[in-house]
Amino acid sequence: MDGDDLRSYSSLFVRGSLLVAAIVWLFWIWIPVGWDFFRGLAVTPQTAPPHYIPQNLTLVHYHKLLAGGFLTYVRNSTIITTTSTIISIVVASLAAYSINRYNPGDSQVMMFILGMRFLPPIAVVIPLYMMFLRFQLINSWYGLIIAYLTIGIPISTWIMLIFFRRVPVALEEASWIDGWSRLQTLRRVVLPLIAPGIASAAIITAILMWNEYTMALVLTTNSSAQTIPIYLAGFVTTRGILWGQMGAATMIAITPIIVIAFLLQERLVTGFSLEGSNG
Amino acid sequence: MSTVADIGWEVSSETTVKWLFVVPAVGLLLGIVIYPFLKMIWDSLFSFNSAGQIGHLVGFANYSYVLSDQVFVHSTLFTIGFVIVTVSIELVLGLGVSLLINSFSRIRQVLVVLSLPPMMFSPIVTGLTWRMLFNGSYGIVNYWTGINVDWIGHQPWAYLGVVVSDVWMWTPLFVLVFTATLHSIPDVYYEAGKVDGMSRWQQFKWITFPQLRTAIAITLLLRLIRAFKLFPKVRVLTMGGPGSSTVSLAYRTYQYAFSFFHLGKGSAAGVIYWLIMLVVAMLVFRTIASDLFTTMEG
Repeated sequence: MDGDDLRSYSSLFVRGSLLVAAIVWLFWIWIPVGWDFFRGLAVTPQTAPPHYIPQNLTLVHYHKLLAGGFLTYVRNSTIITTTSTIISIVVASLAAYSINRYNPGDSQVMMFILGMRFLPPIAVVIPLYMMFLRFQLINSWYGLIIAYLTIGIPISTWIMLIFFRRVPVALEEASWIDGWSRLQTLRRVVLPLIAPGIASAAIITAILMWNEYTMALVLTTNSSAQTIPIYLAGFVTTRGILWGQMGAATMIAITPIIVIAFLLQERLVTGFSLEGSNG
Repeated sequence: MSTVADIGWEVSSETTVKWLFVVPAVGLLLGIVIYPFLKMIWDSLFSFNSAGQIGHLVGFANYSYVLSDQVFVHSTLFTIGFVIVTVSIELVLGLGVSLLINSFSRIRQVLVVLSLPPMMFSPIVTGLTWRMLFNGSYGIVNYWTGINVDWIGHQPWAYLGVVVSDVWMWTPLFVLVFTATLHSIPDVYYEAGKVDGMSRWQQFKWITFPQLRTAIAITLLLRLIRAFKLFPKVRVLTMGGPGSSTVSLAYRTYQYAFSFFHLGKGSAAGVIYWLIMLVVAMLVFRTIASDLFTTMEG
C-alpha cells in the first residue's frame, strides 16, 4: 500500500534524524574530554592551526608532572576526600535513620541539616578561616577534612533519607519481636537494605569533595595540604600555561571519577537522579 | 507480662535513639557552620588589619562600602543574569535531549551514561578545558567554526564563554533526572492517550509534562542554588576579566577577604551574598512548594 510505504519511509527518516541528533549530542559532550586527553599526549600540544589529534604522541608530560610533585596533591586529595566522606556517611546515616523513623523536632532537624546546602561556600569559609587561624588548622589535612563536613553531612543525609524511606518499619518491628536488640536489628536487617543508599551517598559525596576548590583555596597556602583542583588552577593563576601537563593533570584528576562512574553506574545514576528528582 | 515499666523503657529508648542519632550531625553543623556564621555577622561590623587581627567597631561602614562598590554591584547583576540564562538553557536543552534519548529503547541506558562525565568534573577542569578550546591561536572553537573572536578578552564573548562552559557541564544533570523520570512513566498512559486520539503534542502536554513537573521543579531549585555559587570556573576561564566584568558574587567576596585582606568587608559581602541567595531560594522554593502541592493533589 502507498500509505504504508510512505509511513515506513518517513519513520525511517525520523529514526535517522534522531540518531544523527544523538550523535551530535555525544560529540558535544566528548570533544572537550578528548581534547584534554590528546593535549596530555601531544609532543607539541599548542599548534597553529590546532591539531585535535596530535601528529606525534609522547608520555613526557606525565613524566614531568609526576616528577614535579603532583603526587603530593593526589595524596592530599585522597586522604582528605576519604576521611571526610567516611565521617560524613557515619554521621549522616545516623541522622537520616532518626529523621526517617521519628522526625525529631517536627521536621525542624531535617530542614536545619538540608538548609546547609543554601549557604554559599565562600560565606562559610571566611569565618572558618578565622577560626582555623586560631586553632592552627590552616595548611593541615584536618582543617580541610572538617571544612568538607559542611558539604558532606547535608548532601549524604539528603540522599540517604530518600533510600531509607523505602525500608518498611514492619521488617524492623518483626526482628524486635524475634528478640533481637536494636543494634542487632540495625546491623542484620536495616544495614543490608540501605547499603545501596549508603553507596550512592558515599560516591556522590566523595566526588563533590574531590572536586572542591573554594574552601581548599582559602584554607591552604602550600603543598602540605593543597588538593588537585588547587594544583590545576595553578596553571592559570601562578604557574603559567603548560598545555601538555595541564591535559595530563586533568586526565589524572578525572580518571578515578570516570572509573567509579562506570563500575558503579547503576548506583550513581540512581543516586544522582534521586538527588534531583525526589525528597 | 507487659508492664508499665516495660512501656516506660520502650518510650525512653525510642526518644534516646531519636535524639542521640541526630546529635552528631546537628552538633557538628552548629560548631562548624552556624557558630562561625554568626561570628561572621559580628565581624562584619569591625575593621581588620591586613594580618587578620580584629580592630575597632565601625558599625555598618563595611556594608556601605561594599554596596557602593561598583564592581560588587556589577558582580551581583552578572551572577543573577548568569543564573537565569544558563539554567534556562540547560533546562530546555536537557528536556530536548532527554526526549531524544528516551526515544531509543535498546541504547537508552548507554546514551545516558555517556552523557554524564561533564557534571562529575571539577569546575576547575571545565574552566581550564574551555580556556584551551577558546584560545584564539591554538584552540579549536574559532578554527572549526571559522569565526575569529577573542573569547576571553572581549565582551560579550567572555559572557558567552562562561555560559557555554556551564551549559556543557550541567545540562547532563537535567538529562539524567529527566530520562529517569520519563522512563518511569507507564506505557499504558500513552496507549490510553492514543486510544483517545491524542496527537504527539497533546500526549506531551497531558501525559509527559505533568509527570515531569516535580522533577523539573526540584532540579531547577538545586541548579539555581549551585549556579549562584559560580566562582572556580570563572577564576580559571576568564580570571574575572575582561576588566572585572565576569567577577561573580563569590569571586568578589573572595577578593575582599583574601586578595585585599579586608576581612571586615569580606564578612559584610559574605552576609549580603548569603541574604541574596536566601531571598532567591525562598522565592523559588515557594513557587515549587505550591507546585508540589498541586501535583500531589492532582
